[in-house]
Amino acid sequence: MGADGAQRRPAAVRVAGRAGRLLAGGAGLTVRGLTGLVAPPGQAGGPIVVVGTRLGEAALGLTALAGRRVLDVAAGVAMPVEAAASVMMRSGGSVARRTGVARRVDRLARIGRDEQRRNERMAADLLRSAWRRSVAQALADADVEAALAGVDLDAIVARVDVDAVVERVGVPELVERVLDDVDLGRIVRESSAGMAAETVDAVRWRSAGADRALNGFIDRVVLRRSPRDGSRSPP
Amino acid sequence: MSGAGLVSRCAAALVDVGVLAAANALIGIVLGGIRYTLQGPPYALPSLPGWAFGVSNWVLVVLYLTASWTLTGRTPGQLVLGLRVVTETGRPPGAVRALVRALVCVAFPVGVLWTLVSRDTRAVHDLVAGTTLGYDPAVRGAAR
Repeated sequence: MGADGAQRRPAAVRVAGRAGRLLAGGAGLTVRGLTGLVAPPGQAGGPIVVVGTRLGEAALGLTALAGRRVLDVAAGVAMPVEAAASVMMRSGGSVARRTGVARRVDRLARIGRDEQRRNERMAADLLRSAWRRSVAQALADADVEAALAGVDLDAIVARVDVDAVVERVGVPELVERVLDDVDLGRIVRESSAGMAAETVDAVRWRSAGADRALNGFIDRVVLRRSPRDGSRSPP
Repeated sequence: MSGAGLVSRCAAALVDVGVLAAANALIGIVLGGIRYTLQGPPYALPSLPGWAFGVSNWVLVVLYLTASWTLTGRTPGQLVLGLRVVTETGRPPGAVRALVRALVCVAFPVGVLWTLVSRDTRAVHDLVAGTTLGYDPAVRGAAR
C-alpha cells in the first residue's frame, strides 16, 4: 500500500493525513530547533538524548504504521458507505421530486442564496474601502522618491548569484512535487466516466434498434400482418 | 403508447440479475462475517436449505422490483437500458400496481414473450397490472 493506495483513499481521509503530517513535521522542527539551541553545535549530545531521540522516532514509526492501517480500514469501509449514500441520495431526490418537497427546498435555497450574496457584497465593500484607506495612508506616509534615490540597483544585480538561487530552489524537486500533486486518478476517472456514458447510450440505441427489427420480423414474416406502431419506419 | 421490445427487456433483466446476485453475495459475506465475529473461525458462508434460499430470493426479487417501480418507475437494469414503467396516465405505478406487476413477473416470467405477439408490445404482466414498459423520451427517437 504505497502512493497507489493513498490515491484510492477518499479526499477527507487524505486531507486528514496531510494535516497530521504537517503537524508532526512542525512539532519535530520545533523540538530539533530547541535541542539545537540547548546543546552547542558539533556535539552529539549525551546518551540520554540519543536514547530519547531513538524512542521518539520509534513512537512516531508506530504511530505511522497504526495510522496507515486505520486509514486502509477506513477507506475499505468508506467505499461501500459512499456507494450506499449516493444510492440513497438519488432515490431520496426522486422521492422528494415526486412529493413536492423539492420545490419547497428550492424556494428556501433561493432565499438563502440571495441573502448570502448580499452578505458577500457587503463584506467585499467593507474590505475594499478598508484597503483603499490603508493604502492611501501608507502612500502619504512614505517618501518613495527619497528611498529610491539611495538604492544602487546595478550593484544589487551584480551581487546576485543566479546559479546559487536555482540550486537553492531545487527545480527538479519542484517539478517532481508538482507531478505528484497532479491527480492522475481523478483525470482517469473523469474520462472513463465519459466513456461509460457513451457506452450506455450506445447500448440503449442498439437494443431499441434490435427491438424494432425483431418486432418487424415477427409482424412481417411470422404473423403476416401490418407493422405495429412501435416498429413503423419513418415515411 | 407502445412498449419496449423483447431485446431491451431481456437486457434490462440481465443487468438486474447481476445487481441481485451482487446483493446476494454481499448479504452472504456480511452474514458470514457476523457469524465469524460471534463464533470464531473458520469463516464460512451461511448455508441455507434449498427451499429457504429459494423463498428468500423470491421475496428479495419481489421487494426489489416493487420498491424500484414505486420509487423511481424503473429498476437499475431498466435505468441502464433507458426504459421506464408507466400507467395509462403516463406516471410511475403506485405501490399496489407495482406489487401486482412484480408478482406476475416473478411467477410467470414466460409472459414476456407476449411482447412478440401483442399489438402494442406489452407483456402479460403489463396487461395484468395495466402498465406499459416504454422507452425514455431520449431513446424513443431511436425506436421509431
